[in-house]
Amino acid sequence: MIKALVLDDDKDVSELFKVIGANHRVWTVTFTNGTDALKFLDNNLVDVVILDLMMYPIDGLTIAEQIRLNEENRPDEPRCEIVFLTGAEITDTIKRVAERLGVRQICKKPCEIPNLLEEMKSWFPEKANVQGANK
Amino acid sequence: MTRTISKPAVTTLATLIAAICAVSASGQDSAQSQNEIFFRNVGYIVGLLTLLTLAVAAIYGAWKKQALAEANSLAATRKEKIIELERDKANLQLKISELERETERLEKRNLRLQDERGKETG
Repeated sequence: MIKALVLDDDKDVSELFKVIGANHRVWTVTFTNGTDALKFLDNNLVDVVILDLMMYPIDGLTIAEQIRLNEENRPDEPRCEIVFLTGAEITDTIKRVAERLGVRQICKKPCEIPNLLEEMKSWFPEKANVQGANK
Repeated sequence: MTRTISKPAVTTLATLIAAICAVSASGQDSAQSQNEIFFRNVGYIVGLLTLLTLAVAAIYGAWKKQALAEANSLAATRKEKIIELERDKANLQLKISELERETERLEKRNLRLQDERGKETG
């Protein structure tokens, strides 16, 4: 089963991902706080990290940079895919940073969560149809 | 020029009318004419209607007050949410500006290095 971490300071969005994720057989863990999410990733592996960009005090770009930095320190572990989620305008700078960090997709809010989850499953075909319990 | 009648005045007037109707309707005289009976019944009806109107006005007033309080609460929540979003946007803008400055610095450094390599080979 694909494992996804969703980081969005909006609790409603996080809950939506959890509920829809369960229906699409994507194991989803949600956080509203960047520090807690990074702590979780220190001890757990996920396949995809879905990051809201507009957050406070730590924005999504900083979190993404930190994730890649941590991955460089653990070369034996697989890299996770990152998806940016934003209601703000997707500027050239965001696109350049996304490219540099190897971000798989940038979604503009409101995004079609079921479509995003189905697309995520196509990135991991071997894991897509494996059953598992959702957290 | 219209004159606004205050709520307590309306309530007092209505209560007075209801009281007058009640008193006029409670006449003890055994030799009552048809007219007296008629006016007594009218008194009952007017009194009842007045009390009914007061009750409806009270219920409507309470409902209106609650609806206004809910609308104010919703407006306050929306305002808070907007402030939060503005703050998040400003935070992201700060990061983007920082990255743009860093990108500019790296591009200048790259150009400098290219120049230096060009001079070395040339």
